[in-house]
Amino acid sequence: MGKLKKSRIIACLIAILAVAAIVVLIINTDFETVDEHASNASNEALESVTDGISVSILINYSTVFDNYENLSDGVKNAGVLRDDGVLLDKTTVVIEKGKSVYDLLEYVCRVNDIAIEYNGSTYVQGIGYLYEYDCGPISGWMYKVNGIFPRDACGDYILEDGDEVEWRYTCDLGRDLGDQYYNMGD
Amino acid sequence: MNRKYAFFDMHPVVSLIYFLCVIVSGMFFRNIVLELISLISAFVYITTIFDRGRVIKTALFCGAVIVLMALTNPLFSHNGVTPLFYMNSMAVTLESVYYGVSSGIMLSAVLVWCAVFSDGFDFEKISYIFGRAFGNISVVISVALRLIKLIRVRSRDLAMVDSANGRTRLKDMLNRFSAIMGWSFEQGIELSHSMKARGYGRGRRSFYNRFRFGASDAAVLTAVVILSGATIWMYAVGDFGFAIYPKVWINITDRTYLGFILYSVLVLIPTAVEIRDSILWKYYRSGI
Repeated sequence: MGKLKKSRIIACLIAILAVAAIVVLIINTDFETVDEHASNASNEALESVTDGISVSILINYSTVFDNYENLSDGVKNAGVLRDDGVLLDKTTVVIEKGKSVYDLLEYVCRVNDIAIEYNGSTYVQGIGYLYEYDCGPISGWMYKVNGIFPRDACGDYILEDGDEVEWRYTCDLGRDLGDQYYNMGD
Repeated sequence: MNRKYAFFDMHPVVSLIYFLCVIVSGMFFRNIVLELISLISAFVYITTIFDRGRVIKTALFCGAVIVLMALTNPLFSHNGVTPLFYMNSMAVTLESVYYGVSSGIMLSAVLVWCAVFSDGFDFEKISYIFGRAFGNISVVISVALRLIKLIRVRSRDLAMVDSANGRTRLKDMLNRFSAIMGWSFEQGIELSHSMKARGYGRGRRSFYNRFRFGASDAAVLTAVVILSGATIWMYAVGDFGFAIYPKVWINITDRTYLGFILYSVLVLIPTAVEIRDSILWKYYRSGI
């Protein structure tokens, strides 16, 4: 009888711990409705940054139109692509010092209401409903700073004043964007 | 007669090819209509061969799988044009819920077909099909699988004896474990002696089997090959085009409805065989 009680107590403790963990997770998760998300984004756009750096960013997927036959049915038929492939024209923004390329992307996407998804810390899977592998098996998003492709994750690349960031979609492991890094093995 | 399994009384090659086609197509055909056809037909079939309790249990399990996938997929996937709300500034979208439901339907359909297959396709049939090519391997697998079951039964027996004698400490469990190991080794030695005494390893193994490839087997096999070939071709051509991300889209061409009908016929073959068999059974019995 004593044994039964002990196991019951342990089961109750485990249940309480599980519930507590779920509650902590929910409390630490920031929930917003669609309207709240939009108004928070527009408020953020109005905030001015003092002692910031001025950088520019553009987002472009014009390469998918050169490989349109490889594009996934979902993206083709959803009507989400813009005809010229320009998701965001070159924009100059002032952000705080010490921010990374990823922070910049996240900020402009939130302000301009562009959906993004990232994996792990800062691997960008998709921007504006266009995802990796949507245009062939070696397609995905890459970024350029001042004309060169850095070899860092975008969350590790810290911006400096005057940097020009370009986010471009490749259908060919960067080769169609002029990146020769993956040609070395050939 | 509770368990009929008329479909598995056909030649093993027919049922093996059939289930390969149905399970593989169920896994790779990502089209909500085809997934639903597969799941519903699997349930129609199991109502003819399982008892009511097992059907209900399976239905509850499938429902749980679908609900779980629908709830967890939005946590990991944020693609889709219809945001419901935002979690840590990532969108939780309607499309990712749809994707979870679709994956759940696909998964549960494949699981039900696998359950049916593992229930009906017994070791006799496996050894008939693979025994000639991989005779030794099929014997080893059969012995190993039997050993797992045997160890489970024996450990349960020993645990019952021990608990009746009040030996429930961890040390007693370890003792039981070593006893079972010894028992199993002894059994292995006995098995090998017995096999040797019966002439195992001297010359080619011969097989007894009761399977004959008859006219109805040929008819069903032809139907399976034609139907699955046609649906796979239509899938490859794009008649079953379907996408959830970033927006739900389903392709309906002139041939799509025909394809749905062909696939329904394919997945309903075992039910048809089962119904034909029970009608024949009633017919013959009434004549006796």
